Amino acid sequence: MSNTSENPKPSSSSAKMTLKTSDNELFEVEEAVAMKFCTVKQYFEDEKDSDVAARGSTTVIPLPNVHSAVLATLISYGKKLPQSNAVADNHEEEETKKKERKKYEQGLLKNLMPGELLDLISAANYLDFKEGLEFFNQALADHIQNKSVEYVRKFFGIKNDYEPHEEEKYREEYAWAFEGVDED
Amino acid sequence: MRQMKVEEKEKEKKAKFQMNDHIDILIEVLKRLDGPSLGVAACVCRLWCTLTRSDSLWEHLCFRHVSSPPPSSVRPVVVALGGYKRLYMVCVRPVLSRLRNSDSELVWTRDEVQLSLSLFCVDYYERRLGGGATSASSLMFLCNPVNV
Repeated sequence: MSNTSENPKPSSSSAKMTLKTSDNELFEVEEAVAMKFCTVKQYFEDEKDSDVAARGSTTVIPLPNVHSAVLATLISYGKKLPQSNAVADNHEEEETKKKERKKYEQGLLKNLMPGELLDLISAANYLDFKEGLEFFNQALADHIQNKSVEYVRKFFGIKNDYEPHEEEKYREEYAWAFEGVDED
Repeated sequence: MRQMKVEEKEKEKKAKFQMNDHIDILIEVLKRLDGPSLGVAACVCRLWCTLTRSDSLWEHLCFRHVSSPPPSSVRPVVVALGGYKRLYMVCVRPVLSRLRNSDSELVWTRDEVQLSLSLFCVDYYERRLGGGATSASSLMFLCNPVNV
């Protein structure tokens, strides 16, 4: 709720930041959302320390490890989260927002290719976007739940480094886990 | 997203996200798996096997569905009695699989937690005193499904 700018910008009531992706696309994002990406927050705060005038001006923050498609999804998710600078909602409003967010999350996951999950997690990790990481880690866990060993290896591109007798030993040890596993 | 396919394939060739290079994320994902999936995970590769041997993963699994987790003073006791993985295998898994068919989301209260910890103690002492769960006087039948 703090209105910190001494010279309020006429164009927008909330400060915006520009993020530049690996494929050179520019994203203008509200500060409140961008601050959820702790890497961006850190960069912004470093910039602020070095040059006071930079605040509110067109500082472009480079994100060389994030593709535009991925950033778009992360920003979109970030917007749906409770904003730290928002006015406190009453209980009803909070419940409605929660339901909306759940619906949005379900829609998001439905349209997502499994491979894209890894990109999202990688980007969320790079950006230090805690809520995003939490959400997409859960989605990934849900995705590999009940899947076979071969599926998991293929999905993550993991090489089987077991000797045959070792793998046999572990499969026996965890035989109970293999009941009801999805076939590939 | 579809038109990105070609570009994405290019990207894949360059720098694919290697889960095994990000153990902290891998652990977060493993923490969210159910028991059987953790067992499957152990068979994926050596790194995953090592990670699934971490008792804290099983601790998380044991009490994930509990409304208020037991105090941390419980931990050294469980470890002394055989560890969380054993607790899961002996006391938690049999009950969970029996209750899997219920519609409501499974939430344990303090009583269920206390009961499973008590049964775990019973399991330990039966093993120590000889006989174990297979002996006729074993109390471990309490973990088994009951046909009413």
